[in-house]
Amino acid sequence: MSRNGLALAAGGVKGFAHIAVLKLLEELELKIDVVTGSSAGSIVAALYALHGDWQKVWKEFSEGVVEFLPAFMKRAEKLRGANLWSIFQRSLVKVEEYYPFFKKLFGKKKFSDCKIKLGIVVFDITELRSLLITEGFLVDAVMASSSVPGVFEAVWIAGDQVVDGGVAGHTPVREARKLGADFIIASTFKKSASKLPIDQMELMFYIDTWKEEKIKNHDLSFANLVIEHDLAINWYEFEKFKKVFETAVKSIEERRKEVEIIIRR
Amino acid sequence: MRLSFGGDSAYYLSVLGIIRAIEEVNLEIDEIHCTGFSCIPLFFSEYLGSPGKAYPKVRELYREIVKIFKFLKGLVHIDVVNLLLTLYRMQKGIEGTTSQKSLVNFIYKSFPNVDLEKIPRLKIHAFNLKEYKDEILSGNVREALCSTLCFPIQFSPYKDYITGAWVYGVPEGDIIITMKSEDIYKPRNAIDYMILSTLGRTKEIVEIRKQEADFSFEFEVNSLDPSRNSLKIYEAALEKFAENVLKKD
Repeated sequence: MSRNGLALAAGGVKGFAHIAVLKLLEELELKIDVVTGSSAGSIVAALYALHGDWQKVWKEFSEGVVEFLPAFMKRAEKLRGANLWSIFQRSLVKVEEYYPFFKKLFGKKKFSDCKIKLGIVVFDITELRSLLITEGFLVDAVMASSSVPGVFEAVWIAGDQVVDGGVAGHTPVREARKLGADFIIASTFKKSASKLPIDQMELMFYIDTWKEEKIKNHDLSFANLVIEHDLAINWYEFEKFKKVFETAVKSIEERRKEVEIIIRR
Repeated sequence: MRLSFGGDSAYYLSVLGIIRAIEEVNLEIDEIHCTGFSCIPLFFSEYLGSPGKAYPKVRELYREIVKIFKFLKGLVHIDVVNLLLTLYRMQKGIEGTTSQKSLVNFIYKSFPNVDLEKIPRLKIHAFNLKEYKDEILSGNVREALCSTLCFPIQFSPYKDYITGAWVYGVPEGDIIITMKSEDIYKPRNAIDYMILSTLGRTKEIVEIRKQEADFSFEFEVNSLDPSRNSLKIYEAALEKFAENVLKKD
């Protein structure tokens, strides 16, 4: 019997689209044996591994965002402009400022409390490689995996300074396979075309997006089913989380039959 | 068989020893792909017909290269924060910290006016910003070198091209050759984390390309100066090829 895996991509607020995927899979009665996630994907993955219920995931994640949104939005304003702040500051948001959000979601729950096998991807900023975390406290792993480099302060795990898993593991399909899944559904995001850069800092980000796509496409080549959400929205626009979810539910509904055929096959 | 070289640091000026080793073990190579610094020795080796003939030329150019290029040890060894800050203070936009003219002058003075068609085995790669893709360049070798040696932050893009060495690290190939960089620096500011992350992505693409290749070899040298490394690299290459490629054949 095949072991079903679900790989949830990084994408900030777009992570709410993963919940629409969970909803569809529950409706199609597909049992998930392994779930992996990077960044916002790790939040949804960990909540799903804990509760095994898309409605509970929606409730927990959306309530957390509503409670902590005002504090984050004050900081996020800077992300809309030039990245000059990044030259002077160690990070935009300090650990003590964003830790309460993750504590609210996961408290003292551990990987061993999960109903579904869970893998969280983080990026070791010193060794420049991805790490797959499968044990310990969820709050540490998910917070580390969600630490967008430079924006959120890096997190220390087991003596290593780690950041956002989406750096080198945008959609962690290979990781789901490592954890034993042999039929993998990837929930990921279409990247909109970047504007040609007008300064050197923009140039660095411009080529970085190309790299991200290259790595993502490589990961997706290992998936059996790819659900790609087309959402023209910035990762930090958390005030739009409801719209993201509703848009994803609608577009996934259009693919229901196709998804069902592939799953039944 | 496609032999493929990275080129993000001046350590790649020492790759002639690898070409010599390949010739000695009679490994048949159909194409040599390169980007960034490795294109300098590989061009001379292909153009002059042997790594031995190319060696004095590369040694001679080395003194000038260390004067012109800032990122000799790769992106990780330079104070990127200060350079970017300088660019902002000067409101330079897409211009780099060094005038592109110095790059172009160096290349036009140091390399012959040759068409790449005359050295068909050599495939020089650069990243096309407008087309948003990797490209194998054609036409004049000087123009190709200006593109592939155009390192961002230091130089503005050359006719919409930048080096591929900072994007995908190494072109795809059947045998992939990379040079080990030194230890990376400790991040201090947000921009350091961002730069390290983008480097991490390049490293991941290199790893993927290594996995997809038949063979991949990493070499390590202590000096940037090719005259100090060539023998060491040649011996290491002979050993690696004998142990792996030839045994498999």
